[in-house]
Amino acid sequence: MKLETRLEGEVLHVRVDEARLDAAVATAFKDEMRRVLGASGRTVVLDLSRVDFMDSSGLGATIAVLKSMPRGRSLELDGLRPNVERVFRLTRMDSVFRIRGMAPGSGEGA
Amino acid sequence: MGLPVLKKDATSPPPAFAACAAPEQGFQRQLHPDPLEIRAALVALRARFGPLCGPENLGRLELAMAEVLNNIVEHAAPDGGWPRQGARIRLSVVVRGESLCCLVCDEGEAAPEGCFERAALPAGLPEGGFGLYLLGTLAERVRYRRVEHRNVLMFCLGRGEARAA
Repeated sequence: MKLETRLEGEVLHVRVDEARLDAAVATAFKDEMRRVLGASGRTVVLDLSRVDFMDSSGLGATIAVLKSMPRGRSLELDGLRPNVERVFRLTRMDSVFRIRGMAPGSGEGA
Repeated sequence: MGLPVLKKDATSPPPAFAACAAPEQGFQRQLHPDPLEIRAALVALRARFGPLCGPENLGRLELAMAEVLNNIVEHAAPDGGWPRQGARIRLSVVVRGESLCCLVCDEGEAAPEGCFERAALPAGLPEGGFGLYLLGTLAERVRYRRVEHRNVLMFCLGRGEARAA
């Protein structure tokens, strides 16, 4: 599970450098997120623009990360591709997460 | 659409599976209940149907199949093991006009009565329990039968972009 992090002022950008956020990596994703959240940054932006497939295990792991956010810090999602946006929409988790935007070129599918 | 009546033969694949076996126009795979094997099967599934489906329905097919296979690993084959040694999950997807008909057989524990029909969106902020709800949302005509020592699940999805939602 590869995560790329970049701190810009109070915003910690975390990019998931994996094509699939599925049952095979859900636990590793949660563990890695907990590790990188040790860095500062009041707002954490989780960039999913490289993730082309997510299942409910990946969704569950993302919910676990949201629930583990310390008080005073927020989690936002960015760069959702159609296959990822669909999972959030169908489970209505799109109303729970703050979603900044879709991936450039979304609507093309993949 | 009901399942065909199955013969009492514990050694051969269920006839329901054989009936849908049309390699020239579909996709078949056998796999162990393992997340990396599931991933490989889904990647192959996407490659097979990419030319035959629009991107929206291709994504829906991959997600529905992922949830079915993950559900088997989680509930039918707990701890990565089957009741019977060496058994595999068998899956088949065939094109029927504008539909994709999927059949998944496994030899794991039986599913609880009504779990596919009654799958609801879990309340609150759960970290799991979305799988069968997603399947019911994505697929049409979800049918489950316990046949001898096998679980047989059939479901259909749209293929053309007209059914995308």
